[in-house]
Amino acid sequence: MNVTIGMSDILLISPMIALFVFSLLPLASKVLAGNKEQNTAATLIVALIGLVISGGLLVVFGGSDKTAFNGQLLFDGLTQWAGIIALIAAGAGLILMYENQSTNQSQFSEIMFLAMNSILGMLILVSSVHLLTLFIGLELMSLSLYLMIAMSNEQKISKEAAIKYFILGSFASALFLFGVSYIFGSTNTVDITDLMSNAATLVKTSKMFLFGLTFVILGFCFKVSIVPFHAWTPDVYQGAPTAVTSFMATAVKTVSFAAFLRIFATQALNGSQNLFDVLQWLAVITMTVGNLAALVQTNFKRTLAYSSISHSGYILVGLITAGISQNSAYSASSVLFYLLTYSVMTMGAFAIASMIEKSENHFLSNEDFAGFAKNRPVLALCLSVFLLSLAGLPPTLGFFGKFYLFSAAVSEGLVWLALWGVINSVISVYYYLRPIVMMYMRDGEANIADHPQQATTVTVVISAIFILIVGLFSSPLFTLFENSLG
Amino acid sequence: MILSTLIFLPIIFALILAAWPQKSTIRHLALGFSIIQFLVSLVMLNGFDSNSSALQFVENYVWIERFGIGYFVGIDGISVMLVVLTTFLMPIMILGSWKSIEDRVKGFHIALFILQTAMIGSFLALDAVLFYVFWELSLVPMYFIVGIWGGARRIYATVKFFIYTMAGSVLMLLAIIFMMRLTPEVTGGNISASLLDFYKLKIPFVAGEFFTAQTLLFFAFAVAFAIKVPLFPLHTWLPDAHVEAPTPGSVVLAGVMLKMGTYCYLRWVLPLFPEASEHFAWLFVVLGVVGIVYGALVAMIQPDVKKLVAYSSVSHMGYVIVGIFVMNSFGVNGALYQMLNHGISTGALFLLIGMIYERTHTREIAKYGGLASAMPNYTIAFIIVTMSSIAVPLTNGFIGEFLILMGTFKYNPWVAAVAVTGVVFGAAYMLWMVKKVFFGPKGEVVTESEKDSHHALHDLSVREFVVLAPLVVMIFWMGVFPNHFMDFSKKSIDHLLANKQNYSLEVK
Amino acid sequence: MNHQTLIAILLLSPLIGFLINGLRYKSTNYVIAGTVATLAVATSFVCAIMLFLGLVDAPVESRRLTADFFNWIAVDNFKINAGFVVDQISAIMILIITGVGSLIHLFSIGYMHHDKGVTKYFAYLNLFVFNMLILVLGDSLLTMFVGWEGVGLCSYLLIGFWFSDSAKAAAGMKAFITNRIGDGAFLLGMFILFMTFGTLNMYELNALAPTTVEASWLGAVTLGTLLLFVGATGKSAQIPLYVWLPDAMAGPTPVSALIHAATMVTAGVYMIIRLNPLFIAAPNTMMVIATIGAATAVLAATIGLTQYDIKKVLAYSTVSQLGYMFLAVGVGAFGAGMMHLMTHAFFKALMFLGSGSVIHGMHEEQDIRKMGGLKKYMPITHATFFMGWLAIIGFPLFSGFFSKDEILWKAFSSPRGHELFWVAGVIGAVLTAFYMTRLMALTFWGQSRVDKNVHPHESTALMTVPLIILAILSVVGGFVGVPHVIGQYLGHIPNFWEHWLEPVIKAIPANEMTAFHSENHEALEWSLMGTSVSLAMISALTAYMFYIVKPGASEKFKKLLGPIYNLVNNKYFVDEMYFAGIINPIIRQSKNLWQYVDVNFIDKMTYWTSDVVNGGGKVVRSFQTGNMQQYAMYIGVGLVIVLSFVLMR
Repeated sequence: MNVTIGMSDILLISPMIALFVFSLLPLASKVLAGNKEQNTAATLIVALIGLVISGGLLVVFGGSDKTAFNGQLLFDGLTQWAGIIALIAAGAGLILMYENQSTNQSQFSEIMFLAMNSILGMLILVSSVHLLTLFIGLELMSLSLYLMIAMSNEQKISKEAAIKYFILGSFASALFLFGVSYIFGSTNTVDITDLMSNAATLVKTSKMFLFGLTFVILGFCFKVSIVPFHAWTPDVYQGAPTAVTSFMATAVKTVSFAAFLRIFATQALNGSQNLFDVLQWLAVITMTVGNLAALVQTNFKRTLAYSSISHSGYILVGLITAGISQNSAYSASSVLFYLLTYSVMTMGAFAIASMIEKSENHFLSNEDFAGFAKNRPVLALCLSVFLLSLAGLPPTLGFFGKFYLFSAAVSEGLVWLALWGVINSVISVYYYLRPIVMMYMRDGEANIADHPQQATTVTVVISAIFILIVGLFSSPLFTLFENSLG
Repeated sequence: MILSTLIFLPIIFALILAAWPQKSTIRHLALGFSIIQFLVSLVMLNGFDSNSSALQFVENYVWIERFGIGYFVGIDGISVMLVVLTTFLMPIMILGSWKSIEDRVKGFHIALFILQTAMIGSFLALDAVLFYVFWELSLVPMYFIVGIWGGARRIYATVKFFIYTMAGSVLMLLAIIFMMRLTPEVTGGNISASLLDFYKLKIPFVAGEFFTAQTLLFFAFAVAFAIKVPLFPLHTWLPDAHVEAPTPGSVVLAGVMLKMGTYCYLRWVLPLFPEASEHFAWLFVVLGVVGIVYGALVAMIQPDVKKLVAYSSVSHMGYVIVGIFVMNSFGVNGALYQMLNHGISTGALFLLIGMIYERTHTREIAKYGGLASAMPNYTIAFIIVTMSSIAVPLTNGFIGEFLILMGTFKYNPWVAAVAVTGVVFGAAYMLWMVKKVFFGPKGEVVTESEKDSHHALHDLSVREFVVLAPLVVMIFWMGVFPNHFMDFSKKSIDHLLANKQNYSLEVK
Repeated sequence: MNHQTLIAILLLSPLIGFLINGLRYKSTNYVIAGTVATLAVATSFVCAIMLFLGLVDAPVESRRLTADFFNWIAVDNFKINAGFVVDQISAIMILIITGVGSLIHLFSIGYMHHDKGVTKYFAYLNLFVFNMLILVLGDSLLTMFVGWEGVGLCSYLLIGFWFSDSAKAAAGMKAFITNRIGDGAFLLGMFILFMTFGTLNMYELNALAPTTVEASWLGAVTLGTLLLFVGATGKSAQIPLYVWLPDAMAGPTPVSALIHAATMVTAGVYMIIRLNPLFIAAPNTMMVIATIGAATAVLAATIGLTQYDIKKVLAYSTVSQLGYMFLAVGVGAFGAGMMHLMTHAFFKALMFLGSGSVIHGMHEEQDIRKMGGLKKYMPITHATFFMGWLAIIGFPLFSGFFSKDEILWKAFSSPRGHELFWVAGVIGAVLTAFYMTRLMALTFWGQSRVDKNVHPHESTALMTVPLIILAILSVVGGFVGVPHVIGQYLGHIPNFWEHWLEPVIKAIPANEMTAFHSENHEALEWSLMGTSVSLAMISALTAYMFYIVKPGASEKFKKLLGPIYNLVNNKYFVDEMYFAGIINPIIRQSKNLWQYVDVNFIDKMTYWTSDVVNGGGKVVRSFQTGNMQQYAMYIGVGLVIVLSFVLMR
């Protein structure tokens, strides 16, 4: 087949090009300056400008439902919105990296370079409807990430985390590729849009296809840390520089789920009751295990890691719903909305962690929050908002996220998943309240670093306000998602 | 607009307080605000037409179009008095906590105002999701009030309170979502969360089979509310919360929050699940009666005066539940009236206990005695409130209890016979406490001013007098002229009882 | 002035008195306090008289002055007005209450003038009168219940008036709670009657009362009236709920005179008389009432024999006299019961005030063993007390004689009566004569056993005047109701009493009429009367022998009786039984309940749940070793499980 690259292709991928170009600028300037680190602030600004431009281009060309490179990349509503959410989250992540002492150092421009390329990978990931392109995106994103984790200037533990993540990640990628090969073997195509039409039947007819598909799905399960493929998550989240963790927990997770959603959108689940059952079980186990483990943590970052695992469980419920529902636009947009919700509140929580932790090797424990409300009333209030939102209490964004997610599930008759969901959110309340108890109800001097981090503070406050306001006025946003996904 | 004013004015007040620079005048400002709020509610009451069972002052705006969720608020006879009760207690609480809250005054009053928004909101909301939002929102400020300004075991108490209530309400959320999914069949296609559409639903009910839609939904709602009430055996969070909460916390908890539970039985459970309510009424009547007797018996042996009153709440709320589930005019009217009584008398009791606690820093009954000669005015106030609490005629308590018992008798004489023992035990534990605390020889913490002026017990201050006066007035007013208050609700209750099977409310 | 206004003033003036004194309750100025309170009640008395006269003027069939002030409760078909009625029965009651009440108020000024809380005392006293008036005037059972509990409250406050003595405070509490038990039953009774007749208005109830008597024990009327009677046993101190009254003597003595002798404790009797058509319809109930009454009359009298506290003796005497009244209404002699209620109000109030005067003169000494020979120190008190004594032992032509004799005769002759009731009555009379004489003897006669440094003195005019007035009433009070058998020899005095009450007292259904209502029962009536009176006189004489002629005889007698005496002296250990059998078990069980249900069960469940959850968390955490190979293994295992599940069909 002859591949022709037309103008339209270029325009469509212009967001990615922008990212790549801007990722080079800081690095280039450093090299030209004889490998001396330039003004990190300037570096950050350049990077952010890159993100903004890329985002703008994404808005302009993204949602056009056009395909590029004869059907390898699809620019539809999902691409557009997942991309934008990822870009916003990533942007916040970059700000954190700039102000977090363990990443803001002699190699900051390298980190920026890697981050930008990781984001580039993300955009490929969310846009590709071709399993191999998708794999490329996945790997580009991940590889940059491995390095970013390892590049913390302080810690042995971050190196260890990087190694773990690298090896296990490669393992998962291998599984993924293996699955892809089987799918190709059985259908002679790895184009998701082709599969769309007949995945359900294929699953019934061809064991080989089902086999492959399962591998692909499990590969994703690793990326989005579904139990039992989650074990890396706590260690890596804890070991990585907090800024990078926030980047992983929000942007990376969003796009992984978005891509995962494409797989589910093939309606393959309608074909195989077993696959359907297994995934439901995985969802239940994931949210439960995540919450139970979080209950017994004392380390704040680790608690958040487990909480993010349990949230993967909730989101998986949404994916399953999307996978079986006839108007998947609705369920898909509920997933997308939850991804937004989750990214904002998790980003906020990690941002605060990265602000107040003394250093990478000093793990922020719940006790350290004692008296926090007295020292930093604003931050304490914001953190409470994030935690209550994570717990899904009205009127925060987190509640509406859960509400949309679970009502989608109920409408598809998955009441028992919704039941597990709400029961789990009760369990989760307990550990989300714990830092609040510490901050407000225990006296003492909060054991925290205090070097002013204006940019991060701004990010935190904005996220908090976002959570309080957007929740209450989420209606238009949700409708927007649904229309663009429909 | 008046209802929205009632709901959101407190939030605005809270914001103003947050921005207020002067620490010294926070209390005055808050007091002024709460009085304004009360006046607004009186304006509303003045415009309220008590000759109609319709929803009044209704406001209905689309909120989340996609799910047919609206900002839909309205008021009728069932909720009107409870709203006024809420706004009435607020200034009293603020004035009552004038001295007891020293730390983080601003935060405290902000929490109070947010709480008020949540409570009034849940009384007025006519949209399931809107209601749920307010219902859950009320947890958060209460959680902080108990947790920050509470006593020694405050954290244990407040977390227990939070988890208990949350655990109850998430199932309700699921039920709400489920019922929203059913609405298209009555709205002609569009999903809706409006209570009025919920009323139209005919949810299948199979007697004797537990796992049928209506039964499950009924319990999802009923349990959530039962925890809030609290109904035996889901009551154990209450004594802890009450004992640890600061005075105004206990007042708002006993005065209003518990009523949210009982109120919702009338607004949600009975009309939405008529068959299930009829079918399981006996269960709630029995649990209510058990609560009455159990609460009274257990209160009788409490060494801590606040815990005693807490258990008396369990007993009194038992009456309310019984009154509601006997489902006859006497019972329900009595129940609604008993909600107001309990709000006033128990609120007053907690305030009184708070006043003496500020002086002696102990709540142990054994440490008291002979207080009557040290603080005569205080004693008089306390005895008046006690009489209201044990339902002596011409106090408000009697009307409610009498009607409820009569309704119970109509429902089943033997149940009534058991419930009546509560009347005796009620007198027993309250008078026993009064005797121990106020009569007999002086207890160790009781020192008369002439003896030892340094840490003497001073009688009611002017402020405390102002705090108690309105409550005492209400006690007698409501006892002698109950019609002045009941007339607001009669129409709505008759309507409810007359149309249990296909309940609907027209909008005015 | 029309009667509504009169009734309003009658009710409100004590309330106003209460408010005035209540608002200045800290003042120790007994002159102002006393004057205000006494005037308040006196005003009511005047109104009462005017109402009574209005009633007398009115033609018989329209002797009912009503006043509906406002609608109190209205729910569904249940409507209660703040409505009050003055008719033949309540007229007598308000006269007694306000009349005797004023005298007692007057007496109190003298008795309480030294007390710090005098103003509070008078406030309570007024409040009591207010509630008592509501009780007797209320036109429905519920309005009556308002006063019913109101007087209970006042009695609680007044018994515990000297609250710094925890025994006194406890007595007040005991009174309230015991009454509450009765009130609970009263409530249930009201419910039954309302559910049966659809009204609680007493006139409507009487009108609706079935004309054919109800034979069954479980009939609505029988059960309803029985429950009301249980309420009465609480208020009027009958078996089994009489235990509070003796303790109630902890209160100031005038209180005992007003509340625990003259007025409140007769409320139960009044209630039954008020509803007599209803009770007549329930013979079983009346049988129970008569039995309880007779039993109480005897039991209390026996305890009275052994008491040494002057007020305790009078207290048990009151219980026993109330027993008489219940015996009377139980056998259907409502008129006689009402009359005894009045005469008893006179002579018992007199004797209580007399005892008050004694205690006052003896400087708070209540033990009659430390008295004796007071006659010469306090002549007026003695003289008046003497009249009371003659009245209560039923000395011919004294007030007590007529009422008690009428009761005994009806107990024997009434279709609902029985010979045994008469026997019990006579025994009661005999015992009464004995212990009353004993009381007289030990207190006023014989040689003085007064402590050297106590100087008894006669009380002031403020206290003696009321005594004298009451004494006169106790002497002549009986002539309002001279039975025909005697009347015909005293220049044909008509029986005003019967004529007055006749329209409001229903007769026992004719089909129950028995031989006694033929003509030839006069001889029988005379002989019965002779027997009872002579027996009483003999026992009185015996007592005189015992305690005056040969003192110490009583001691021998005690030794003779030994254990029996001990049993009686300890009031048959009834209090102890109640504690051991009811109160303590309840408290113990409540403790257990709390421990086992709340603390050890419900909360344990909660903790258990959270432990399980936490345990789960620990288990999960234990998988998180940090060892990468292990993680890889999880992935592998998960992979295998999932695949095998997915691929098997």
